[in-house]
Amino acid sequence: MFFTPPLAKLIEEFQKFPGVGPKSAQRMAFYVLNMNYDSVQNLAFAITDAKDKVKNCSKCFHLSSNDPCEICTSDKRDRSKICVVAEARDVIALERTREFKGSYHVLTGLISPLEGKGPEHLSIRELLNRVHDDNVEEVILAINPTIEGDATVLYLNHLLKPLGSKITRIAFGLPVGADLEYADDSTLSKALEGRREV
Amino acid sequence: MRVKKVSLTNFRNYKRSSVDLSDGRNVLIGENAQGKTNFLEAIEIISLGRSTRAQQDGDLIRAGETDMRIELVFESGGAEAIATFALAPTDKPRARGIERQIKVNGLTIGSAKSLRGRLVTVSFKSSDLNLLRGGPKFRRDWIDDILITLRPAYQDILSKYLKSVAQRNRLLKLLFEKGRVSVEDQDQLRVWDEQTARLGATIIKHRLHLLNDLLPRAERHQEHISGKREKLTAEYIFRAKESKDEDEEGPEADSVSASQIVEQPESELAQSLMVLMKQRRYEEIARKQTLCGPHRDDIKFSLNGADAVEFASQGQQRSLVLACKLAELERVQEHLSEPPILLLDDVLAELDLNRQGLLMSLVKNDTQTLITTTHVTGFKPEWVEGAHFLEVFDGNVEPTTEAKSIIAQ
Repeated sequence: MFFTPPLAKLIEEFQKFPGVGPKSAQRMAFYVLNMNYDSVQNLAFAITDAKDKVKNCSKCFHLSSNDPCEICTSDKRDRSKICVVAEARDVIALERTREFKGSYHVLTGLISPLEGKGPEHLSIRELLNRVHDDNVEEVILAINPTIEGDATVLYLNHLLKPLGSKITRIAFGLPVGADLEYADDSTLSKALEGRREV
Repeated sequence: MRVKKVSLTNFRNYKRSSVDLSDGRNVLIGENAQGKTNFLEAIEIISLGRSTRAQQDGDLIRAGETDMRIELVFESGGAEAIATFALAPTDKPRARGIERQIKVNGLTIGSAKSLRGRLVTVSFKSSDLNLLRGGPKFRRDWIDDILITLRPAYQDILSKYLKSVAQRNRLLKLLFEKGRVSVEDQDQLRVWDEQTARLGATIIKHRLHLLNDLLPRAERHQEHISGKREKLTAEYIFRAKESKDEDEEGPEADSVSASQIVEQPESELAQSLMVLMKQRRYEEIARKQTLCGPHRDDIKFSLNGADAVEFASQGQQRSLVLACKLAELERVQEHLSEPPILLLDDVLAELDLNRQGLLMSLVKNDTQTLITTTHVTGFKPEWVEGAHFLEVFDGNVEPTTEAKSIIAQ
């Protein structure tokens, strides 16, 4: 490589980002070098500032600069419903719908022995405490239909059942506006499985 | 279904070769090691989304080259399509240096498995003998591949199951290293037991269902080939029920006839798999692997009640494998609205005229057939009459008329 060491280092750091290959990393590094000094400092500050201030909410484990987070402290939220998701970004996706007015619980991952993730690495104990203490009526599991997601749902189900709340899992099937003809077989069979009376 | 044109670039021993195929019979003639089997393999790769011969993708690239490409123009469901399967170097992590690029009609498709069902092939080759003499994996792959052709969603169940087994195995390994199993670990294990058992039960049901369909057909063919002297039977072997100590329980006690289980509801089957997992818990942890489930199951073939691997002669074994493959051909033909592509790799000359005739009687008239051979003698004349002849020489395929003159003599 013909990059001078500080530039090579920058490219290397960019390449650690998900979805960024050597070519993109190089482009980003050159872009940074062409930025004016203030913008570069703003960028560097934004990175460390976000890292310093954004933490997991101690209640629901969503990302926030406040603790407890905005959702947990809002009085417009129905605390008798908890929607359980794997990652903080899933909360953001669900919030975009503006349909759900309950509270959330972020597991911070899914059970996956291959990645060294066991139930003890997830915020399961905290979830059980919340369900028990807040008299939660319904726990909605908004977890992906993957092998790891299914295993996590089974695990949660075993632990939540004795607490007496209603446990539901979101439906899987056709995306809205999609064409039956183009849906793949496993999505279609899931959709058939989850059919309901009209 | 028809393959119209095959173009190969740096694939196996082919540098660059492109050839048109005819709708009916195509006979590929060539000495050994010129590329006949490789040519059929290329078609099979587009049909299965993977090679049945290569240990790894890199084996498919011509020595000294870094990338390769297979392009097929074919007709399926009344429409013409172009499918390409290419391998190219990459520095992406986890790709081991080689990346697959699969396209249909110029559109990139996600994974090799979505190639399935567009072009269906049924092949007969000398290595089919592995179906009897090879390890259990050959028999599992055989039945699974037919199932995927008949029901593409099965692929999804199968890969989910294998992933679940991989996760479970890692957990067993972790528990082995920890040296003790806490209550929390028990809870987690139970989850993976349940997940694996449920998917496993679905797979077993599918396999038994298909086996129950294939066996009477295979039995009929074996009867026909042997002049009613040989009765073919087969049993699905649940390796999960095998005892630790081989001497304790004979192999007979482990096998269950397919018809018994096929009546059982899937949930019951999953339940009994979970019970077995629980019984063998400590053995599984000690061996760090899942011992109960269809990923270890097997099929045992017998002739007149005697184990076909141990007691049947070479000739009988060949007939048995042929009978099974004919059953496969029949089943796949019944399922599809148009005939699949038939690939006969070096086997036709090995079959006597009676067997050749049986095969011919089962093949639908308008089936496109590719036959490879080193010589055209010993063929039933119907195979070569009106056939399109191609010569394979040193990684090149070209139409030839010479073979016709050989036959004429």
